Amino acid sequence: MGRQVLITDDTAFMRMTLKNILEKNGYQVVGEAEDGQVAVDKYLELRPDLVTMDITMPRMDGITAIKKIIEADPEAKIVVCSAMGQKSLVIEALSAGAKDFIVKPFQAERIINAVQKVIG
Amino acid sequence: MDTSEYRDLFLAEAREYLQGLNIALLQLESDPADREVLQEMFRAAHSLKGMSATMGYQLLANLTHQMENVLDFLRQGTLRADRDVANILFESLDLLELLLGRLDEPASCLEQVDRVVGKLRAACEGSKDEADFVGNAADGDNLSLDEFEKEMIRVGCAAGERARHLEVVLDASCLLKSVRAYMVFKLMEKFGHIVKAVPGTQELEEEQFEDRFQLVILTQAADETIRAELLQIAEVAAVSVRDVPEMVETSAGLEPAAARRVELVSETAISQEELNGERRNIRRAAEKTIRVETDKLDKLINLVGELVVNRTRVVELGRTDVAAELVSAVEQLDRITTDLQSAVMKLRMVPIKQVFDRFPRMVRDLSQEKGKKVNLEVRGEETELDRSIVNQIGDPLVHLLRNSVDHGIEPPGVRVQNGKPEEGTIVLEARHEGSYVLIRVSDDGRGIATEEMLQKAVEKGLLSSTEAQRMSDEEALRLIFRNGFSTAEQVTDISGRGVGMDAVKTVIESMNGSVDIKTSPGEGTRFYVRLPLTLAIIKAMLVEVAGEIYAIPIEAIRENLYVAPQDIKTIQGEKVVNVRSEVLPLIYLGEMLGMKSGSSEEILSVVVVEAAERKTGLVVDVLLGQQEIVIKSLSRAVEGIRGVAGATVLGNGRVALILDVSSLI
Repeated sequence: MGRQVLITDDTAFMRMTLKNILEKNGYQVVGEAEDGQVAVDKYLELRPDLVTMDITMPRMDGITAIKKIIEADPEAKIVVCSAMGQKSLVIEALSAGAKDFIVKPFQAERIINAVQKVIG
Repeated sequence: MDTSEYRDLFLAEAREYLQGLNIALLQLESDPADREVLQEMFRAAHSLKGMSATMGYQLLANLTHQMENVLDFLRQGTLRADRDVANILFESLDLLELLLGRLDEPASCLEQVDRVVGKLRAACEGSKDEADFVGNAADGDNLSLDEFEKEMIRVGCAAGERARHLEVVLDASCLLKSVRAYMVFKLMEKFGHIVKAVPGTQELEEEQFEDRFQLVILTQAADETIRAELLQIAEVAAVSVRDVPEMVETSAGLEPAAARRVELVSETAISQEELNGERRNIRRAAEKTIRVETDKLDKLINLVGELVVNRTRVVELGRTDVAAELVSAVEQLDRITTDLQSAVMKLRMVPIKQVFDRFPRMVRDLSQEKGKKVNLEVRGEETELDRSIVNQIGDPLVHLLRNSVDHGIEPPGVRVQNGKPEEGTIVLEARHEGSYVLIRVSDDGRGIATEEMLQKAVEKGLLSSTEAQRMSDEEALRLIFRNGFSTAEQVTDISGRGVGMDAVKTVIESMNGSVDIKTSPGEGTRFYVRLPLTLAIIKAMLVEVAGEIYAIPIEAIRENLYVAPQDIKTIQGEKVVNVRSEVLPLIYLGEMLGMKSGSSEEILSVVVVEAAERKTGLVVDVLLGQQEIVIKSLSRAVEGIRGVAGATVLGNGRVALILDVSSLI
C-alpha cells in the first residue's frame, strides 16, 4: 500500500513533529502545507495517499480545504487534526468527508494507529 | 497536569495491582466460578486503567481497558474462565509488566500490544449470547423501553428487521468521545435505524458518559457485520451485539419477558450485596501504610545504632561515683534507648510475603514446562524478616523450588504407578523460632538416594572411594552443597547464571544463616533454611589479640578450648592439636593478622570456628566474652581486607574489627 503523506498545519512546529513521527514509522512525507489553499494545490499536484489536515488555518480553513479536495477526488483520504474544544468542527469535518480525526497534543501511538487504519 | 513527579508513585502502585492480579488469576484458575475474585480483578483492572489514562500512558490504558472488558464479561457470566481465557489474561499481565518497565519507549511495544489487544477482543466476542441474560443488570443499567419504543420494534420486526441491543465501549484514552459516538451513529444509519440510545443523544453530545453507551437498533444486517464495521472506527475498544432483553421472541410473537427479568435481577442484586459485604482487598493494606525511601530509613537506623552505643558508654560512666540524679537520668535514657532501638529494628522488618508472592506463578509455569503436576502450598508468608535478608533470599529459594519441581517431583505417570497422587505437593513455609526465621521447602517427590550421591561424588573426583565408604548418610546428603557437585543441567537452569546448590549455601551463609537437607527415598526431600532475624546486629565473641579487640560472629563458633603447648603437634608444617580424636589445625591470629603476639601464656585460648565444613582453631590472647554488637560497614578505603567483615564500636568507645571466618581459614 502507498504510504505518501501530505501534512497540513499552520505552525512549523506541528508540521515538524508530525513529520518526525510519521517518518520514524516508515511513512514518506511528500509535502507540507501551511494553509488550506496550499493543501488543495499540493494535493492535486502530489496525489498523496493520505492528507493530515489542521482545522484552524489562515487564508482557507481545514474544513473548506477538505470539501475542495473531496470534490476533486472523492476517494481522497483525509485525517483531520483538531484541538480539544473543537467537537462540532470535527463533526463537520467528518461529514465533509474526513475519514478520522486525531486530537492535539499528539501522541505518537494515536497518530500511527489512525494512519494505519486509513492507509495501512 | 504535570505527571512526572507522580511517576514513581504510579509505578509502585501499578506494580502492586499487577502482583495482586497475578495472584487472583491463579486463584481463578483453580476455581473459575469464584465471583469475588472476578469482581476484585475487574476493579483492579479498572483502577489501573484510570491511573494509566491520567498519566497519559496510552498503551497501558488501552491494554488495561481491554482486560477490564474481558473481566467484565467474565464477572457477568457471559464468558467462561476456561484455560484459553486464563492464558490470554496471563499473557496480558506479562505484557503489562513489560510496559511498566518501558514507560518511556512505549512505541517499542506497539506490535505486542496490538496482538494481545486483538486476542482480548476476540475473547470478548466469544462471549455467548445467552437469551436469558439481562444486559448490564449488575450495573443497574436497564434499557427500560417505553411503549412507543416497544411499538417501533414490533412494527420493525413485522417488516422483517431484527431488534439488536448494542453496547459500544470506547478506548479509555479517547478524547473527543462525543465525536466517536457521532461516528457510531452515522455508521448505524447505514445498517438500519436507531430506536434508543442510553445515555440519550443529549448526554452523548455533552460527553456525559464514562466510556460506553448502548443502542437499540432495528436492522437486517448480521451481528458480525455490524460488530466488525463498528470496530473499524478508531478508538472503539469493544462492541457487543445481543438480543434486546425486554423483547424475547416466543411463538406468540414478541412479548416482554418481564417476569423472568425480575427474577434474574433480584438474584444478581443479592450476590452484589454478598460481594460488597466481604470485600477482599487485592491491593495490600495501602490505607494503613506510608511509603518511605529506604535511604531515609537506613539513615535513621544508623543514627539509632550510634545512639545505642553512646548510651552504653553513658551507662558505664554512670556506674562510677556520680550523683544520684544523674544515675536515675541515665537509667531513664537507657530504657528509652532500648525501646527506640527495638522499634527501629522493627522498621526494617518486612513480611516475607513479597518474596513468596512470585513463587506460585513461577511454579505453575515451570511445572507446565516440565510436564509435571505440582501444587504449591505457601504458609507463614506474614513472617517478618530484615529487609536486606528478604532481598537476598529470593534467588536461593527460587533454586530450591526449581530443584523440587525439576528433580524432586516425579512425572504424573510415575507417581500414579508408585501409588502416589498424580499431583505432587511442595510446601514452602516460613516461621519464627527464637531469634531465627526458619524456611522450609519440602516436596513429596522421589527423595534423594545417598548411594547415588556418593557414586556421583567419587566420579567427579570430589571424594576417594574410601572416604565415600566412611561417610554417614547425612554427610552424603550434604555433598549436594559441595562446589563442583552441580550437574550441567542444573547450572543452565536459572537465567543462564551459574547457580548450583553450592551457590545457594554460600548466599545463605553469607547472611549468617544455614541450610540443611533431609530426605526419605521415595517419599520426598526437605530443605531447611535458617536465617537470623536481622543482619545489623549479631551476637559475637570478643577476643583480644596483641592488645586489639576483635569480634567473631557466634554463628561461626563451634566451641572454646584451652590448649596446653605440649599438646600441639606439627604435621606437614601445620600446627595441629588433637581434640576428641579429631585433628584440629591451629591458626595463630596474632601472626595471621600481622600483629606481634602479646601473650606469653602457657595455656592457649582457642576459639574453634567452622566455615565451609572445615574446622579450625583460632589462637587468641584472651577470651573476653559474648556480646551483641551493631555491625557497621567499613568505608571503601579499607574494604576488601582479607579476614575482615566489618567493624563495630564497643561500649567503651573502642573500635573492634569483625572477623570474616571463611576468608581467614
